[in-house]
Amino acid sequence: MKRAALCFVQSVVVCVVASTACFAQTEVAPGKIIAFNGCSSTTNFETGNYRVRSSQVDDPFAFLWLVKRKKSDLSAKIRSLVDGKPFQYEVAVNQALQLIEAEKFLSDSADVRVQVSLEFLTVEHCQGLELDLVYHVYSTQIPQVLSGTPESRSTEKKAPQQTVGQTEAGSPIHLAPSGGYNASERASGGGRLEIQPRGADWLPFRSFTVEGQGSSAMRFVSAGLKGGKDSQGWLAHSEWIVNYESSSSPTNAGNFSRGTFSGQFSAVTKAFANGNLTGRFGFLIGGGNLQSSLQNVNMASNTVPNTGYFSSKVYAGISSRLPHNVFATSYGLELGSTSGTGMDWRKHIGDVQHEFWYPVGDHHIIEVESRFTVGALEVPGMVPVSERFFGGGSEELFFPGDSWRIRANPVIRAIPANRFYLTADGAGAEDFLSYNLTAAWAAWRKPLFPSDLSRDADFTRLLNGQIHTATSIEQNDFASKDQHFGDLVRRLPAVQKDLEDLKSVVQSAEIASHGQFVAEFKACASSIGVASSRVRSALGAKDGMQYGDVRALLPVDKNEDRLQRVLSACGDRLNGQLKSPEITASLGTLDSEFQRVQTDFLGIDQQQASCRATQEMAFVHRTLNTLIKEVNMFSISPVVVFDVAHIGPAKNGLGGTRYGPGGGIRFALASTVNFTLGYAWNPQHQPAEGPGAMFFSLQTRDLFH
Amino acid sequence: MSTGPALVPSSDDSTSSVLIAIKINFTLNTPDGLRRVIFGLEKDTQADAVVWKINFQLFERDHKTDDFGDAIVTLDVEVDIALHANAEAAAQNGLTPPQSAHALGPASDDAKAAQAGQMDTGDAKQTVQNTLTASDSQ
Repeated sequence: MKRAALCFVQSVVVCVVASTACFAQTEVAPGKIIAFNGCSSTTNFETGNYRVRSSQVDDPFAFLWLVKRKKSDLSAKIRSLVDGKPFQYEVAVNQALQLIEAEKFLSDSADVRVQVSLEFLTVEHCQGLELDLVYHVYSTQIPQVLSGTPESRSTEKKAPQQTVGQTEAGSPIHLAPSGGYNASERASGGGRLEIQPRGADWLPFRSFTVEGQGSSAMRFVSAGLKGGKDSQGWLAHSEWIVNYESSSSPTNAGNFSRGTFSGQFSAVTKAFANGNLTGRFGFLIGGGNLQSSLQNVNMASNTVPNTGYFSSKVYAGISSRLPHNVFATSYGLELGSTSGTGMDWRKHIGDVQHEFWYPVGDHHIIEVESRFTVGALEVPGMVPVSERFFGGGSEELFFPGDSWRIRANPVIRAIPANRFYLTADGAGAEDFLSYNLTAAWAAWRKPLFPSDLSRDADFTRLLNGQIHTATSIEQNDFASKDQHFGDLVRRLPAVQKDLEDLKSVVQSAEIASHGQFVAEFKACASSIGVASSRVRSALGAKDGMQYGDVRALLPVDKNEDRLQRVLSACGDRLNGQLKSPEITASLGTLDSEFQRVQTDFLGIDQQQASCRATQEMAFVHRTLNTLIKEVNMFSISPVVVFDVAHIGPAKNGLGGTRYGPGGGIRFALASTVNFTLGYAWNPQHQPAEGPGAMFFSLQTRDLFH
Repeated sequence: MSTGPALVPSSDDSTSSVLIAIKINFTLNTPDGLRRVIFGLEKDTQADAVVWKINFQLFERDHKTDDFGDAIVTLDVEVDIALHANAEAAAQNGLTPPQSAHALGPASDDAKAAQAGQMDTGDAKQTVQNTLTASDSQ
């Protein structure tokens, strides 16, 4: 009964649709049925006399100011081109796509190996001989270095446009306000200004950064010059920073002040272990002065309140990115001196960070962030009090800079900043451990990429195609670094000479042939010319480009196979009839060199090149997948936190362990603002620590984006 | 006649959304930053008629700090019907190692030679089109 009713409804729909199609006089292929109010892929919308009702441009990164402006300009141009006019393929497709191309949604950077821009046009809402046009624009560039660090994971959530290279070429100035609150530091505000002059790639320092944060109780200012370099070797990225920092931070017993000048170098390795790990290391040398105004607290006998100091730091770590996990572990060692000679203290820091995220439903992401940090201080001489460990709700970093964050103090959000420090020895701990857990669930969200698009199998395949292209380029580069390829390239001058000799011998034979075998001579000369051209190009190129030219000489490239073509055209076809001993000898020499070149090429370990390229792109692949399928344009998430911190030496309630359960809410608007607001309790608190604390941190968008 | 996957959700023959054009540009930069190739693939669909075009552009510069400026070579090639499946595969799946090697090597060389008048433009277009069929023959 139900099936019969359904058949009846279908019949009616078919009749209505068929009559509508006839009335519209569109060209419909026999047997095709157009859905009522729908569009058919078999319709010629131009000869069907459709008009364009409206047009729009769709770009997922339109939340960026510059992209939004370009999109707005582009939409206006396309509207004036097509809206309200008869549909024409030349105008709607060719002219409109040329306008999109001209807008250049990606920055013009040669530092990336592959850029992919995709535009596609869909026709929608075909109704009453009118239709809507939607121009979809998706642009990506694959960076040479995209690490699997927790910091890069943070970037892809807060600024997803950076992950796909949607940073604006015309904006050398970046300004991002920031703010926060905790009971010690009170409400604070500040920001970060970075200037990256264009065309200054040749300078050792490519950016200048000033950062500051201040409140009625604290201040922090830093200024730094930063340079960096990507490379194709095992060291994927290195950077160097010269930095000055001045700060004053409160405790409940007085303030710390610090003025420090430092120089540092850090580097990230290429991915290894099947593309699952990257390594990081670096060092820092610095010095300055450390002041404190602590009152009414005991200090250990090996502690000084005010002093100048020198220190050197080394740090190393590994990080990994899996489809739904990032993991990083770091170790840092500081050697410090108050006198400039000898070593007065050694500080050891271990920091382990893990983040897990998983979509529960469409883009409803559960995120669990864990961090475990330990520290120990050895003091053979004297140590400034501010170099001891002071815990609370504020994080201190082992060294300046935001590309690698090693936490260097016990963090417990239930205690205001720098209020967890009283130990059996006095102010400041000699050892600590802390564990921080934050779990959030994106209860309300809007996906960055439309859900129906990110779930679409064809779109996913196309994205994977971008990775495939980038991997192909990498594979050719790795193949060109194979020892056998190097041997082959060293033979190219000999191949070039053999071709020149053959050309000379053939020319002499042609003169002596008195007009015989004209076509054969011409084919032979042409093949020598093209092969010589390929050899010249190969000798003038390097890496992947050279690889393409070399490959064109050999049978592996069935379209080209230039040396074999010379042997065939000049040998079989020409000399098969001419029987010239000189040409035979010259061809023999070329053939021998050809065999050696061929042997070298076949010796290239293509499988290893492929594996290395795949490893190289593993992080990129995972990151882009996450970006498309999981990152939200905005989200509101309930948050649960749980912290444990211990400082020592502990005795009689001084030092010891504290627990801090709590909760709050997180709001994130991609590239615009992120904040987490919450409260954590300190059930075992000492008087100076308080019964709990509110935590609040705010990051806002780069105002010039 | 090639009728490839639609690239948009639910675009069967009778839906509210029909794909009529795709344009995908692969911009390939050499490691030394001195040469750039843009290998563009465009698919236009007019009812049952499908046209694939290649837009090939070559940029070169002497120093990495210079701008690339305008393309030194631009070639537009209408893809043979026999190669439509290859074009569709390249657009959907990206370029393979042989294809990217061919684009950066022989295709660029011949495009440049044609621009300099050292080669027939038709031959250069054929070399560019051969990018679609470049494969490892072993």
